[in-house]
Amino acid sequence: MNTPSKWESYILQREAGTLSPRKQRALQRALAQDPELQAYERTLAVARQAMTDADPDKPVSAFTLSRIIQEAERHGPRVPDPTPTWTLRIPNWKPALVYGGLSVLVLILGSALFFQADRSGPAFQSVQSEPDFAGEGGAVVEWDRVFAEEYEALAQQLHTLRTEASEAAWLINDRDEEALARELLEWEHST
Amino acid sequence: METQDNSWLRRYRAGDVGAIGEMVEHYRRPLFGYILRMTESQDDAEDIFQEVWIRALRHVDQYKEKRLLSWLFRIAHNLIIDRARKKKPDISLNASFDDQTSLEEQVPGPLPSPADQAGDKDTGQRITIAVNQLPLEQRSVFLMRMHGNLSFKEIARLQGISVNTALGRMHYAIEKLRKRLADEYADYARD
Repeated sequence: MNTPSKWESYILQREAGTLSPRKQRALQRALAQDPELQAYERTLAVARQAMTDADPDKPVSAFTLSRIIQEAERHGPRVPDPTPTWTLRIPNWKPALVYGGLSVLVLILGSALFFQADRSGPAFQSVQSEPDFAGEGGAVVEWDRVFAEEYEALAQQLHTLRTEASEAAWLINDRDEEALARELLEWEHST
Repeated sequence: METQDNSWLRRYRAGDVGAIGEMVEHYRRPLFGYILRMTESQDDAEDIFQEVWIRALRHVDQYKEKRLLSWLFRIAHNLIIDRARKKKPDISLNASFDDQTSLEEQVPGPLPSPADQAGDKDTGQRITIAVNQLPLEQRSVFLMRMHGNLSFKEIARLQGISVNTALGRMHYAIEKLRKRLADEYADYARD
């Protein structure tokens, strides 16, 4: 047996309703000239008609049908679960890409700032941080100002104390001399 | 516009199991007719018919065919092939149609019953017998065309073969029927 010829293939496709109008017209012309093709087409038509007529419309048993319905009831329609679940789904790659990109960006920026801070520490010191006496910058100036004010206040207090102490000492000295003179006079009188 | 198939499936998903009953009844004749002619007994046919629907219901979410009947035929075809392989494990059912002779020897169709052989000369009956004696793969394409009215493109897709192979198998089937039933065709032709 050979594979179907072009025209036999056209006949089969026309019977299936899938032959283009242009090919149908060509087939019609070929059929008009070729009795063998006409016999082939007739065979196909007879086979279909005979199958349709002879096809026993045998019913499926009630048992089989009831099993199918039972199965349908048992499995039931698959209604989607309204409760949302967190699942990793490949199609949602855009949000994942955005979050991932942001995370990487933050990581890079953090690393860059860390190393920058390591190199030029004072730039990241606050006024409350430990003063860098050997360095330069605003923080040191600030600390100097604070210390200077405190030093000035202490110096003022010290000066005040010293003055008061000096005056007190003079008073004490004066009093001692007077007491000594009185005691001497008293001694002289007594003797 | 919603197709009848989609309407049934929508109703089933909404909880209307009755839609399945309507679907089974609607497709019973082409599907069961195909299965019945592809198997050797009514019991086998009923088993496969039931299994087709059970699988379809279990995997209804995976239904992506344009026509439900094509999908049902695909499931039925696979079940029949599996069953044939279990009986004849060495057979290659997807062999090219150049291997027809060996396939025919390996997978003969159901033999005609004694009543058939006794001389029932009804044309439809004789064609039925002739179809049953076709090799499995030719019979499958022929019956999908005649019972399911599937296009050759659909048949090729669901059987995993090329359109040309599907056309070739149909051609062989027609040629064999033509030879075996030459007398009957002559009678039809005279009518």
